[in-house]
Amino acid sequence: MAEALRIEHLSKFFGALGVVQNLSFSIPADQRRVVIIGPNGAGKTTLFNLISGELPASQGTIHLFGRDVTKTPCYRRTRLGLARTFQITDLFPYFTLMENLLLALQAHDPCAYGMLKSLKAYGHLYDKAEVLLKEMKLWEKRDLPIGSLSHGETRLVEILMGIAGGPKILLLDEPTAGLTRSEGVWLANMIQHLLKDVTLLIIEHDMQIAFALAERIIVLHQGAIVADGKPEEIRTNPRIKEIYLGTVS
Amino acid sequence: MEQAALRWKSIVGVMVVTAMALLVPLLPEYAVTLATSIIIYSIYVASANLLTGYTGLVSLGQAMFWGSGAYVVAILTTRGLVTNLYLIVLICLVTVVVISAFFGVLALRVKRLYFMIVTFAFGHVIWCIAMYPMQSITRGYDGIKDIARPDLGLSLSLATGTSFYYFVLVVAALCFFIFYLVIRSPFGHAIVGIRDNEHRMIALGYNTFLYKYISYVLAAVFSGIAGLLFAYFNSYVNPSELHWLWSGDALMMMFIGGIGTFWGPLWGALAYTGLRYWISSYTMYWFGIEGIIFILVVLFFRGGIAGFVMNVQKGLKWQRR
Amino acid sequence: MELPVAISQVLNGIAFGMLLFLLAAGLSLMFGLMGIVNLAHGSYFMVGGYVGLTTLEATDSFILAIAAGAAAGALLGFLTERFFMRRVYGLHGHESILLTFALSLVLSDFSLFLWTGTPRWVQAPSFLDVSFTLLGNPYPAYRLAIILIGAIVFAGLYWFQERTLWGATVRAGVDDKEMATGLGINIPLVFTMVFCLGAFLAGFGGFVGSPILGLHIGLDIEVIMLALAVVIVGGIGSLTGCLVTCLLMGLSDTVGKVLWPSYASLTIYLVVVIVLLVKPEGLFGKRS
Repeated sequence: MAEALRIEHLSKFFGALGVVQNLSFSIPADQRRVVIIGPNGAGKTTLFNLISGELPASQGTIHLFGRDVTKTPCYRRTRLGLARTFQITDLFPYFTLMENLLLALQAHDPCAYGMLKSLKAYGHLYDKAEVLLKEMKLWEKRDLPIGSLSHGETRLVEILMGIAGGPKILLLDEPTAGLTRSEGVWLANMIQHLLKDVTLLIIEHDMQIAFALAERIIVLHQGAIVADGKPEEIRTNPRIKEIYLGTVS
Repeated sequence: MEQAALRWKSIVGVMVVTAMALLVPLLPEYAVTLATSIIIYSIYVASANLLTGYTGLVSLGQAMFWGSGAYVVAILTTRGLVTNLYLIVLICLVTVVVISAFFGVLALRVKRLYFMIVTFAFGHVIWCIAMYPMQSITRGYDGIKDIARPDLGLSLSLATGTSFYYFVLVVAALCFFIFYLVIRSPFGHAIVGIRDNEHRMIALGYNTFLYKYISYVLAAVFSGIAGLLFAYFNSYVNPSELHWLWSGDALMMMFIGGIGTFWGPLWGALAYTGLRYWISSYTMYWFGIEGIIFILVVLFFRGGIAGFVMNVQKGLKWQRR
Repeated sequence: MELPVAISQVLNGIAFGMLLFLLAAGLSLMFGLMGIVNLAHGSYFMVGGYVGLTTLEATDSFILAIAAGAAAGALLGFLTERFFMRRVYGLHGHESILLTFALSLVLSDFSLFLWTGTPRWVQAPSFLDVSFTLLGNPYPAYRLAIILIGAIVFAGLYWFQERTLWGATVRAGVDDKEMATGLGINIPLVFTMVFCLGAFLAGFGGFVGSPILGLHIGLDIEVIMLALAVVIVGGIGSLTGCLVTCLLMGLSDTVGKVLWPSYASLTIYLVVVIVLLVKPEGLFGKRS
């Protein structure tokens, strides 16, 4: 099993509008940080929605670890080792931090449908939560309502929710959205160090962070891949500059 | 501080339970009857609360299951088809599970607002069926009367108000205990997650349809049990037990008591039944007053009685400091 | 059933459908524009009818009574929107349903208090209290007048929607609220106007329909259930679709009550269930 993700001729049309057009690429399982960049409207989030299963593909196939998941419902793809985070933080507003994380942890646990024993009786979930929260230095805030955390902290929690299930490939949609430059750099470092064993597919808007993080960069423009390679290659590609500076239609 | 609050709550809890078990039967007969009906209604509202308050699915069709439970009892007992109480309970449960399993699959296919309308429409169709096509069995508008009290098979008679009250109290305690287990379990945690952010739950890998479906069937089962108790209690069942107005009443009681809270259903049943009883003795315009009360609750007391109580508790904690 | 009887039943159904249209048009617009289900709409209908009745008894003028009924409806609509609906916009859809349901209970008992539970009948105005002969059978002119009135209201609403700026504004609001606000359209004002217009039509319909339907407590529930069925089955966003569904519904209800009296409501709501499961946005509705 050499590939974590393989996309072939993937397209998504909304009516006559082709938001993603005939995309094909694959990510080997040992690749770690692939960053997707592209101007607004390039179809990056739509691509994530297609991979995660929130949107059905109009054409093409998606393979996760060798399995064809094109028709698999969204919730089942997680079982195969996929997880994602969202550009706009999407947590459970009336739960505490710990309760949020427990939801992510219990999803794939055999106790997920348990109705008789109290959640508190499943100590192994709490232990896992403790490990994750301490790594992100959020342990002291575990019983606080999620609304009382700062924006930067909730972006961290977003990532925690993604890795809680132990995924093998994680889609990070603009993890640094809404953060200051320094917060963003700090988060990027966190991502590099903590998610060493996970294949990361990252949408990033900040060029500096994107180039610093990436092993490989894919550039999307108007729903198609215009470049795909190592950061140095992309950096020197004149077409990319044109796309970003808007001299290309 | 936490210990003191916990101790205080336990004391109040014990006092309430004792009062319910020992003091209520000492009251005059009409009060015991009222109390019995309140407890039966609270099971009904609690079941609706599981579906609406905890899973976030507003259903206007819960009367369908209450009424089914009631009619199963009415039809089987008055026609002498089944005399064993436990067999009747079993048939009632199977009936309600089959109906909810069938309707649940259909109703959960549509979005939240349409779910409410679909359950309303289903419920109305069932009411129409009971009224007309199945008239030979259900006696239509007239309803079925003279339902005898059940025989527990022990040497206890449930014919008196007090004995039946205890019977209902025991069943209710069992039901609420099961609710308690479900709500603090991982399943209970998940359905609240679905209520608050179903989109994220799907992304986390939950089969949200299955959770909602189980919740729907569970709510139906407890509504059916409440309906069963009601049929024995009231000894008369008519199609109003299936009418959407009764589904709406469940929602009203839920809101008044405090939606999505554990004790809300009991508060709601108590306030609603008590108020109705009291106000009806003064005026015949009970519906209008009920409407006014409900409007006030929805606009100004969104947490219901339970929410109010919690605010009072928080206020008291402030006083202490 | 013989042909003349059948034809008069069909005409009855169409007349009833027109009355339904007066209700359903406003209900549909409220749902499409504001996402609220207004269960008090039937109450506007009933109260409008009663107010018109009282006005008729006081002044002997049918025209004045119509105006009073419509105005009563509009006033109730305004009060509902201003004091209740404002607070629940943007909350879940079920809040509006429960709130307006509670309101309908209040209005129902209020009507009971003012006008008692005795069913009342309104006499059609003398110049219309005649019968035409249709295929050898007498047919009341008033019902034909209702059909005509309904057609005129439809034409008026259609013109308003398609040809005026106001209509375009409302349509824009239905299609995309945020965009409309961004373009400077005063959405709250539009909401209030739509509410008042819908309630106005309901009150109007309540009195204009009273020579046919009568006035009794419980009328509000009967008509709102049918109007709701229309909105669900017909879908929102199409005025013509609404009219067509109303006529179909009116026909089914009327003819159904004659042929299978007990099964009319059952069949109508069975259709509602099927539509909800197969095409939730309604037969003529547009998928969002």
